[in-house]
Amino acid sequence: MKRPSVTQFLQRWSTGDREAAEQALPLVYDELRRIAARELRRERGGQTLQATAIVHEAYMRLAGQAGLEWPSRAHFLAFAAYLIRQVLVDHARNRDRLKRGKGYEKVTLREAADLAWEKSPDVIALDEALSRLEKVDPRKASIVELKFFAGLTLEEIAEQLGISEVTVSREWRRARTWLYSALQTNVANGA
Amino acid sequence: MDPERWHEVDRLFEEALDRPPAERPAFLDAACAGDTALRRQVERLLAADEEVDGFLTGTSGQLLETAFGDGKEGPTLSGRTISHFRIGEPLGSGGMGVVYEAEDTRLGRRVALKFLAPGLVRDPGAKARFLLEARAASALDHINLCTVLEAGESEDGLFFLAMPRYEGESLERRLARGPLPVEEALEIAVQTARGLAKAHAHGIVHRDVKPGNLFVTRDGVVKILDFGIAKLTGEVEPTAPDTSSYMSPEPTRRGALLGTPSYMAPEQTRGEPVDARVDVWSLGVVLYEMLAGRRPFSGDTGAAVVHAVLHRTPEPLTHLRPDMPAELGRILSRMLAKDPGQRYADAAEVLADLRSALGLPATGSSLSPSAPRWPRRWLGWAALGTVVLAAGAVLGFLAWRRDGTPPAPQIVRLTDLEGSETSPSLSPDGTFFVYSKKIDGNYDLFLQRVMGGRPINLTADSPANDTQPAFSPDGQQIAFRSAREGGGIFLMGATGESVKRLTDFGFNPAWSPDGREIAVGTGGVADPRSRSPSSQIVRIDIATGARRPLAVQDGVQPAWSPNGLRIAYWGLAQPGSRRVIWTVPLDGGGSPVPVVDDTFYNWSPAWSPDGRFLYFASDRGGSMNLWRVAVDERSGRVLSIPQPITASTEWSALPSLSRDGQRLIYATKNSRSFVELVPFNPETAQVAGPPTLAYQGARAITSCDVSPDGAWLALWAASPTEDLLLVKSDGGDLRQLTNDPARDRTPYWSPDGSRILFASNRSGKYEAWTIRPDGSGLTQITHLPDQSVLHPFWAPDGKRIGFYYSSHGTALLDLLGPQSRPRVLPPVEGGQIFDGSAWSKDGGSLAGEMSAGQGEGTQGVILWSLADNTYRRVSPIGSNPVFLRRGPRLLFNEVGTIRLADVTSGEVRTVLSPPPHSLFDWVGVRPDDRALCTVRNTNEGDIWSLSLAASTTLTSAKVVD
Repeated sequence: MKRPSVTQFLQRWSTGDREAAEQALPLVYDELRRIAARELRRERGGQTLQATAIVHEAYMRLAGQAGLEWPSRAHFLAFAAYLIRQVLVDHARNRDRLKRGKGYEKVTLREAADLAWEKSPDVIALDEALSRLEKVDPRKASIVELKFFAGLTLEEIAEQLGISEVTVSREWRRARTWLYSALQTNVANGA
Repeated sequence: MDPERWHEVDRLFEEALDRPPAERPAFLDAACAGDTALRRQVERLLAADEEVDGFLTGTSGQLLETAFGDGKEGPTLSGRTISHFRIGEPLGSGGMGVVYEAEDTRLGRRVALKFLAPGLVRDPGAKARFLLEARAASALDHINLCTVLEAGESEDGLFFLAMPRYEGESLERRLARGPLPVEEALEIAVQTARGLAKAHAHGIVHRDVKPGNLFVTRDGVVKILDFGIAKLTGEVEPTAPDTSSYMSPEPTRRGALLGTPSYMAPEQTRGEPVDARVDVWSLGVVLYEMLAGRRPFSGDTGAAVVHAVLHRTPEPLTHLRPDMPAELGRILSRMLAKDPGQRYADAAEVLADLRSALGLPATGSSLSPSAPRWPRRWLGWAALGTVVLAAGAVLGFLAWRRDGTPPAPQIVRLTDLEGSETSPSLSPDGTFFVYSKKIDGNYDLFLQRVMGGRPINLTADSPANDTQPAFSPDGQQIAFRSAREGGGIFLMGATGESVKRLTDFGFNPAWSPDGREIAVGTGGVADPRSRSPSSQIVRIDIATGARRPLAVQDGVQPAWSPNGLRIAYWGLAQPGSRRVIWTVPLDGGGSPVPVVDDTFYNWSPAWSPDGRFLYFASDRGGSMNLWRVAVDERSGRVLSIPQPITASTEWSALPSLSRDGQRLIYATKNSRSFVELVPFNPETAQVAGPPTLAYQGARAITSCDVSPDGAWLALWAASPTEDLLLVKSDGGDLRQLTNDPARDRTPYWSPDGSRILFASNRSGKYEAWTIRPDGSGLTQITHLPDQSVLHPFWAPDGKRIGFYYSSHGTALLDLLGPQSRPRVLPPVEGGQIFDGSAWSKDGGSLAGEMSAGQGEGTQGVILWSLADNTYRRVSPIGSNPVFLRRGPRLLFNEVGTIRLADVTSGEVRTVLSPPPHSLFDWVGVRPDDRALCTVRNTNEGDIWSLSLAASTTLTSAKVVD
């Protein structure tokens, strides 16, 4: 099958076509992954991987490619944030299957859980809550995506969204608290 | 959530946050104005704000490390030494990590090292699981499974698997060039099914069968990669359909992270528990893709693919490939049944159907359109009663009903190691068996529990070949043939202790029922096709060493009857070198009585413990299988026609029974042949390039000869029937030149290419014949009395031929002279026979082997000069010499290696060493000397067990493994 060009994907994305992201994902994903893999090989002095570094570098590379008309850096960052969120959710779903022992040998949660994963939020629940937030307050959802998934600073996010950093900071605080509360409620309800 | 409500909550929350905590209750009292639900929501957020510290404070970096950090590109390791592996260049990246070539500095072998993605094995639990799985995978020793040589962890925590380095390409790459011929697709499917069946029998499911995980070696052997790893990582588990929409249409281009829905079974895409049936599905998808050149389920997005997997019926292949056998369509639709309950239960079932329904020859390899389809021969047996071909596994099982509903017999594979396990002997109580297997260059004897367990090498300290073990009637001792110290029969304790020599001669020892005597043949046999001309049966008293020969003409493989009344054996009978099974009384009061006397290969007799039946191996059903006849132990009278016991497509022979008669074990054999053309430089007498494959398959190719113009190869195929094949040098246009029950052997092109000379027993005994390459003009060339005429060869002028005139020696015959008589060459000094097989291009000499007439093989390569009528020794070991055009130079086979001898200088050196796990069986040379034609055969042999119901009343068989 002939694949549409990267440019086509990205143009569609730039016009707000989220469907395009679904198809563009593998293209950008490969780039993100390559950079991430290289970063992982690097001596990082105990530092964890910086999502923002990966996202920025991916942009530099993809934007620098001949014939690639990337709409704007802002678009790319938003796209990358969305992408990383999807990747992590996908990964988490797979992890979850492992934990729940579907078709696998029975193991306790503790044994099966990846340690790095354990300390982190329940990505699937987070994603679900974020999706709900997206419907009623897209800007807050964007802020969360850019802050948490793409690793942007508040300042970068302010620039990205064209609002003041103070606003971003306040919105982020409330979004974060709401998400936390939503996840707590999930736990309380046994979801 | 209602947006307006949300914004109200959010606004109040924001305003409350701006106030000191103490003022908030009052603020909310006023702001909510009695809307308690609203107030509760804001209060909950305020409470959450107290705890939220730390939540989402970092970024996703740590998660990304896990998700991205699967080492797709891997750490740069080239040049490092990890454990005892010196790491070379990266070979590529597989689904689960990066693969490097490496040298095992301890064993000096080249391996492939696969480093697992760091993200997959971060925590201790995952590490433990990884090692466990790697070990489980390495326990699965099967030719179609990629062997894990070693699993380990580097000092800096990198996990690796060491695997053999295979040369070839992945099926994925092969498929990129388009669909496969039906034969090739089936071959790959059958081999994959074989490997999967092995794993399934051990309760291991691959879960990620796809073209990228199927590696096809240069020899055409399928290796299934990444076994067990899929289960370990869980990475191949898909996302649910509703969230998988971002899977790309080319899943293999990405990491395993997103899964590969194109090959996933419906239940797998739903995230349900899986079993062996998901591999059946995936194999079905792969088979479809190989034939159609595209996948049965496709779509622009992952979600679309998943939808197709769940709901769509693939386009029938018969539309796309009219050349496909109709049965295949039915098999495919069962493999691709959406409901796992409707699917084959595991790969063994697929395998059985692929083989039996399609009538694949012997091992299901290399379908040739004209190849005989042996199962049809079974139709005749249906008349015997209810004959049911079991489609359970590799083996079918046949028998005839007597009464009632008997317990189902079980066929169980007892060994499945790489290479060949053979000559099994069951301990009388049926709990242990001992067998012979080549390891580290020589045959050793291994003891193993029938119910499972590790084989114990009983003869590890002997560098000589130890073969043909036999348990004593009390189970305390094992008699065996050993080549040590000049060779002979030895005895040892059942666990390998107290080895002592019994004789300095003999093969195939058989115990008398009282355990006091052993009977042997003075000649040995491994395969009924090749037999030394004469062998005696000799009884040896163990206590005194006294020997008593039996009054038989020719006999090998003795078997003592349970009441000590008779010995069964088989021998050659003229004319036609028939393989006849006889029994001879031991009280001296009678001559041998034939048990089975026909043109089939009948051999390896074994008595039932009650003395009522004689089990034996025979190719009377098409392929070599086990049979039995009812006999009267006292008189030797035959009481029934032969009855089939096994109906395997694999060569099955060498039965051994337990004392209670409930269990029979036997050996199977499964060979593959590779005929290759190897560029050769006649000036330097060295190989000048990589070989090209002209033929591969299961037809046991035994010889090859290149046509004068170099375009064609004539092959002697020895399985399932001995026939001649023609194939183009580039592997195209395979034809069956002869196709009948007669045994046709050793084809040789006439110098002008117009005729092919060969040996055949079609006249009742072996004579020289010719046939034209188009299959016409079959002509008998020799009409000689008594002995067989074997491997005839042309003089360079095409007017004379030479041949091996059995025990007379080598004879030459002028084809043009009227009523010319063959001229028999004199014996070699010391009475040895010259077994000539080639005529030099200048016409002046013959080359051949020196044969002692009996015993263990030939005595080396020898030259006969027609000018001065003298022999000249060329090499002390070696067989099947051929002349190069220039110089008195010979190529010959020396224990699987191709060697070159310069007759003038006496120099002998190696030209071509065989690849691992195989030996060269034959070398031919193209008339221009610029290419060698080599034949290699690889052998896979296993020991199987068959539970015999008391009366052997069977309906359908239940098959295990």
